[in-house]
Amino acid sequence: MTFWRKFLNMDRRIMWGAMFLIVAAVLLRPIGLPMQIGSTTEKFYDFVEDIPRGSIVWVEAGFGAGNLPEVGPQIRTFLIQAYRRDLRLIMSSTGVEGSQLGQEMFEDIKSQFFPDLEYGVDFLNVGYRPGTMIYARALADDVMSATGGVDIFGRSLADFPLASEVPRLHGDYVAVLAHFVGHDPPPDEWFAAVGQPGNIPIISGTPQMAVPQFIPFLEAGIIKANIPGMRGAAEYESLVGVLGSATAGQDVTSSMVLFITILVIMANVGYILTRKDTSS
Amino acid sequence: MLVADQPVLGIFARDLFPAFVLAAAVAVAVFFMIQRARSGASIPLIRRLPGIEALEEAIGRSTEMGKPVHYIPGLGDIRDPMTIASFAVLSFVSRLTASYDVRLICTNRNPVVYAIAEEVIRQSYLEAGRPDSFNPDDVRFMSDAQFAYCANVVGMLVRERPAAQILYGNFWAESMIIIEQGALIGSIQIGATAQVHQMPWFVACCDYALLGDEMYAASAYLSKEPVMTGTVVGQDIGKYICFVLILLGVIMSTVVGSNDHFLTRWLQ
Amino acid sequence: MRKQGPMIICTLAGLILIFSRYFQVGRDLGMLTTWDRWFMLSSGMAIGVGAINLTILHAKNVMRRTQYWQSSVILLVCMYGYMALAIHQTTGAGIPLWIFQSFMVTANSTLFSMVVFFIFSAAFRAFRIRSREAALLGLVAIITMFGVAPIGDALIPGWSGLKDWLLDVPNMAGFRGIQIGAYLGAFATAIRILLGLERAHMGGGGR
Repeated sequence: MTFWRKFLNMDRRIMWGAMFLIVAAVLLRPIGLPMQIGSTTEKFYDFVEDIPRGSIVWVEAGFGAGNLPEVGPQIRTFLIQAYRRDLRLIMSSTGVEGSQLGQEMFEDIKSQFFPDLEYGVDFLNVGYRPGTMIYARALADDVMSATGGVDIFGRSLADFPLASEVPRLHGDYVAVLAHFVGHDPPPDEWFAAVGQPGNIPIISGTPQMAVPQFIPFLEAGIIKANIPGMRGAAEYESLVGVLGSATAGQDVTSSMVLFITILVIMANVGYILTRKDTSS
Repeated sequence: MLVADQPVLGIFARDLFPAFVLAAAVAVAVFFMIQRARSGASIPLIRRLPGIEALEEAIGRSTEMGKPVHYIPGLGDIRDPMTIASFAVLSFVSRLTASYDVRLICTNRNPVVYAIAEEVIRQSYLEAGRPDSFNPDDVRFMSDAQFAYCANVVGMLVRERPAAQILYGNFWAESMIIIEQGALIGSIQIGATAQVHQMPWFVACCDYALLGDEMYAASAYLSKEPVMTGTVVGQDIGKYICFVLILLGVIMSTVVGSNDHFLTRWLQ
Repeated sequence: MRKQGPMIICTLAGLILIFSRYFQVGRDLGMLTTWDRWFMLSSGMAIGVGAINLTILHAKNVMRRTQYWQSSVILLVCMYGYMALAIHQTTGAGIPLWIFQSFMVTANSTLFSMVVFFIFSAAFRAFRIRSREAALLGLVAIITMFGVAPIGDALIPGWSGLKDWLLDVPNMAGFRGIQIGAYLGAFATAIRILLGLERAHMGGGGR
């Protein structure tokens, strides 16, 4: 029983060290397990495909650096699909880091795939503003006033043609609201502030942890389609045909799932054996 | 037939009219139960909430061990109902820590919440007759950034090693780190949240958990006043209204064969 | 009067918000927009309150030479140094942006990634079959984890379908129930505040 007792009281750092080694090994030597495309991701892809060419899409990049491994590939792939369909994007952020990270992604996509894209014509970033639902409501009233009339770099929005086409966040000017968030604000806030009053359909991308929170809104039709976590991002990359970090991360997820399951089973075996030992 | 953009009955905003009707129905139920309680009529009791009952045990344990109690009123701002609900419990906890003469450390992420938490604790110490025991340095604003706050809390847990940790409010991913660190230092942990994606962690990792509307009922439960209990009973009548609506929706969707019927159209 | 004053303001504010949101006249007057701007302004100003507390707390640590007082010095230097830099060079350019991206973003990513390690050790500790409910919790967790990763379908084709069913049916039913209850709880709390029954947020015992 000494082994099981030692195992159950194992120093967590041993566990964490083993995790680190497994992740490193799988990243260096990928297994390449096949992956089925989920219906929700496919719905997201189809929804974007059906947006009329040349339309304006409002992108809420409310995620932080912590969500980058999951939401980052989703938004990056979305930018690629959107620009393939000649959509024009305006990005806002209710998370401090989201606006900067979104800007970097746009510049990365521009240099890699679409060198002809022009800031202010095809893409506009109005930057971070606090207040979540309050900010969303203000955008629905008047974009200029809500943003203070300046973009992420502090330049006047009046100088950009894209800004003049969207006086307020409303279905008359914007085809879709693409909502990429870490956890909050939940989609019901954007739906109440913008989606319902402005008649704008909402699509979203979320980390895996927030998926259960989003499913009721998805089933109720408040969100039209959702990309669930890193798995969804990998499926989306596969659908768009641009394999990236989410696809590479799938083997890591698989190995971690296997590792944790083995540990949990062993912990339970140890628990049962030591419990019997203690009671006898 | 309702005409788009025309005010309903000439005064109500058209898009939020169904929400207004439902809110008004629940409000009427709450008022009715408050009046019943005031008139001395019998009001059903709130069922036992082990998480709230355990507060005293946790603070007692801290007193015995001579270690502080750590309280987090969540990471939400002051508009968050979970934060508001947290203050009633913070008030109760701080009165207990004042009377047991045990240190209470309250860490905050939001500056407005911090200012209110300090006032709540100060008042509780005053009411408990121990204003001198109140240490303003133990009510701390850590950082407005989620993970900077989290790192700060983890550091504090390692240094101060509180014997009890109470997480009551709105939490996100940082809660897992804080709870697990609490477990590592051997704290008894009581968690309460209505944030659905954090509930599984609270259930699995805290010693006691209060979920969803339980956390809102705490102030009425602690006060034991019939009027406050009446508001919780009124809230339960709201649940019956929702239940009836769900049942009607299921029946109508089954009969019509789709979700396109009077009820869904009206609610939208 | 110390409590009645804020209570009256609180009730009035609640009534004005209800009027400006649900009544057409309130909508037409645009009261919600004005209210929203006031809130954003006051929230921004509250950051100053937090900064003052942080300064007092850590300045005391330094003056009293308490344990780890050196960390307090670093915190104060970083906080005021960054503030001065950001005021000197407008936000969105130069060194403040570089510091933000190199330190803040990186540190946040690292800390968020650490959640995985903590989840791992928490799962090891928590998923013990102490009762039937605990066994069910562990089983569902394993099914969902395998369904999210490609390994589930690789081991047993159609595994992710089981995960989808668990998420879409029992999980959603439970979550909807909890959410409806939580919204109603929040609503009852709001009524208690409007009626002045709940006063803990104004300091003291509350009632």
